[in-house]
Amino acid sequence: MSGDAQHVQYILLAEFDIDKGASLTHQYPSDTGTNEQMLSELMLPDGAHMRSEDWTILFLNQKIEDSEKTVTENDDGNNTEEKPLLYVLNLVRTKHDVTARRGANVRAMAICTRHQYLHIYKPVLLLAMENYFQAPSIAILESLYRAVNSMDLSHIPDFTFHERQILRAAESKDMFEEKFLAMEAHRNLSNGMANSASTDKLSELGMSQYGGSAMNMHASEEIDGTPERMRRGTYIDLTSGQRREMLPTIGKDRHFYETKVVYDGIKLPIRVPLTLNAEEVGDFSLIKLLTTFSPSVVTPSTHPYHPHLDTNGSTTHPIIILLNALITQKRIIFLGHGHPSGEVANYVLAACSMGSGCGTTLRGFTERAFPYANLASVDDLSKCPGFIAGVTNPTFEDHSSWWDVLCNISTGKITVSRDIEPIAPAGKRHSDANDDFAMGSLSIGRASSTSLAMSRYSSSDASDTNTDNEFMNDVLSAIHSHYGEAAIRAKFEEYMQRFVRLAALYEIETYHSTKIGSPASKIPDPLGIHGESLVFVDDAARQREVAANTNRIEGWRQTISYRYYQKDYIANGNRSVIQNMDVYRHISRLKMLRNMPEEQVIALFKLFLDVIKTDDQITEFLSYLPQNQGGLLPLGFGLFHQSPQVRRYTVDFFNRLDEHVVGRRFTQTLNRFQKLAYERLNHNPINSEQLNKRHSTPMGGQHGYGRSPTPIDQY
Amino acid sequence: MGANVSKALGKIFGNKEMRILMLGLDAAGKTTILYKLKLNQSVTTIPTVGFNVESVTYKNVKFNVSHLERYCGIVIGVWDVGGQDKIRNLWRHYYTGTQGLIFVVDSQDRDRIDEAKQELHRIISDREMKDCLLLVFANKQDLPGAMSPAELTERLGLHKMRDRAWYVHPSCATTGEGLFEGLNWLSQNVKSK
Repeated sequence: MSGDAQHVQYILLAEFDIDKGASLTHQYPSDTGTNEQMLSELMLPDGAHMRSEDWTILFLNQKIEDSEKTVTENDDGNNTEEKPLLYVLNLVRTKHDVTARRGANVRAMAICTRHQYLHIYKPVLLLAMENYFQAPSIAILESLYRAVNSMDLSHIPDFTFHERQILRAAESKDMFEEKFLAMEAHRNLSNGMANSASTDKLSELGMSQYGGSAMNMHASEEIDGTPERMRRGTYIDLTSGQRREMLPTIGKDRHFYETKVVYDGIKLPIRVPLTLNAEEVGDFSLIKLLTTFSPSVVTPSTHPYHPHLDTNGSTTHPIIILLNALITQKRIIFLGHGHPSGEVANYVLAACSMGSGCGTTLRGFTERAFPYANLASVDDLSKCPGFIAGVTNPTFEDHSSWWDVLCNISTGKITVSRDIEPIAPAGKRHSDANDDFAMGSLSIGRASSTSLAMSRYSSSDASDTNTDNEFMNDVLSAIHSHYGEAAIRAKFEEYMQRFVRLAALYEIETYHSTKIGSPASKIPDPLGIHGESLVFVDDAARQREVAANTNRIEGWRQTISYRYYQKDYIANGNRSVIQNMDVYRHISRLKMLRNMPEEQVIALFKLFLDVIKTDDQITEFLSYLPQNQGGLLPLGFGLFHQSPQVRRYTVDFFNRLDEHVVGRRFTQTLNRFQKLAYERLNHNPINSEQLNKRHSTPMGGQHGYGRSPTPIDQY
Repeated sequence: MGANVSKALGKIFGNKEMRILMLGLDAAGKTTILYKLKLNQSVTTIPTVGFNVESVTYKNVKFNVSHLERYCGIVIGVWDVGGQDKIRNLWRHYYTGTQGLIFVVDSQDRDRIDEAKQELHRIISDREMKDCLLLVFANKQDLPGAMSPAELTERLGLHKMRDRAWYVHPSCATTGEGLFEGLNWLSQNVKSK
């Protein structure tokens, strides 16, 4: 097995030597290459002697070099031996022991993996640690290494980016059930071929008790090319009296893949989460981050105005300050004096997720993250152009030159350093630079921002806009209403997706070119098919939003994540199976615009019907309609549109979705109101007479697209 | 928040605040001293991983002014940092803002007195420590063969320090003997902020 295919790269053991201090005792199977002293300091976090147990998360191989250098190395292509980022789950234990010198042993064992879901190793690490305390020997590390690497993930379903977004947002447990069944069937088949007699082996490999025969049946269906048809059941939907086929459910939560690790004769069930995006490591809680740093009332901040951070003036919400600090690559510290290091680490991980739009939009945060750091890390941190670090040592608070933004998890306060590098606001530096769009100084780092100004943005007195405040109110009220983690993350995904589009728009207007978006076409476009990528309610809203974002966009343009995004934008565009149509934009139009002209709505639904045809296209399309944000709801209003043509297109499009294995789960979870309308329209097809004769509804067009509460009895 | 409140109260009622850093070789008795001061109890300690920090209210006199409790005294923030060889290079990060250094010496450990001397001189030669008071606890006086304060003064080369206020005091951390006399010297000599 090559090193890349291993689940776990290293097992480490550190102990606090009575005479020397933190020392790394064992590394298995080989050295990590990280400085041993530093590694042991991190594995034995500050205050480890005060608690019997602490979980820490560490990262190894962060990019700490000068960012300019990294980029050029990449361009040369001779940087292939760069070590991958490793995630380290560390368990430290203090055992009081009267027979030991000075009364205690403090030891830490760590698992280094490239899997983002490193928390699955907690149970096995606990067992191994216990074994090590009983018999301290490298053999313990060796057997642990073998056990964790024998975990079978060969039949884990493979999800595309878009499928994963659908799965993340799915509230039902059985989204993509068919993929699991196919994988299980495949496994059964290949096992059967390899070793048909060995039923022992089957059970050993974790074949479920649902019976091999069912799986076998599946396997043969796969070959016949009629997958899982036979296993579909029927249920009667009492609300509409319709019979519908539905997929069988075995009741497993398909957001996870179930496997196991056998360690020391003990079978440990493992649930691998399938919904993690890039930049999401571990099982952190974004909700906890948000609630910790959201005061009940935002009091005016006392630090001097910083254009990148205080995008809404002195009353900028602390979470927005943090988000701005992430976007503009500031040095961020989470301090939790007296808190377990694992708790501090989770704040760092949540922040990485937040800044990246939960992995959907930006990247480059985890590679500069230090979920747990201490004084031994200070030198490394000082070399980072910007970082997100978690510490428990209050000394960091005294050294305000080490950080730009400090988030104290004990007090819930976010402090901007008095030593932060001052930056002039982009709009206020000189307003006569209108025609001078020099693209020159795009150096990366915390360098001062380029000073291009547009006189029309010079009114960037951000305090008169409060889209961010509205956003935070929305997020916090969702948390108060007990929305789940996935739903809250989805809000930040949406927020960041809008931010990058706003940045593209700003670049086009300010610099007349952009690499992160496509300029609006010049072709006259009465049907609204082309048009610019971002939708605003009206022109005033547009002006306000661009103005409020100018400074942080300028800040972001100096960062590593901006560079990555330029690359990703092109790659994502090439990967998309929906060409020539900006799904994001059209969905936002349906969501945001209140008075879409009828011909535009007709053109839009026709466009959907014309473009979204293949299975992959439908999947990608649905990924823009997260179920936890309402799913098909914005399209469903088409069922009540005054124009029979729109209603017909909507029904046709929904019928197409209904044929699709994922799409069906969307049409079936339409809200009851829309679902009834959909079924009714299916039964009483809109006849051509209605289509030809303009059928005027009592509601008229004034209510706008998304709001028409047309009664369904009309048909 | 709590720290700020106590700071504010301190301003009103004339409290002094002092930041003390306690260093010394491993097993010299720093943590025992810290918790003896804080809790007035002899606790069983294990080696410190990283640091301990506690605020110790010293010499407080309580007045009852209506329903406000009024404290006069010195709130001392004492940092006790692990002393093992490999982690001593991190001591420097604690220097900023330190008004008093308590250097704890195991008076019985003659083998390592030169090592202690070397570390002490390295600390106080740091620019950030140039104005700070130096209190040496000649700790573990209860043990047989313990060096006397005079002998320690000699062995640590304290007589050569001319520009610094220093004081050596014998102590026994487990019983608490000598600790408050040491703090008394610090509080009388600290420059009021």
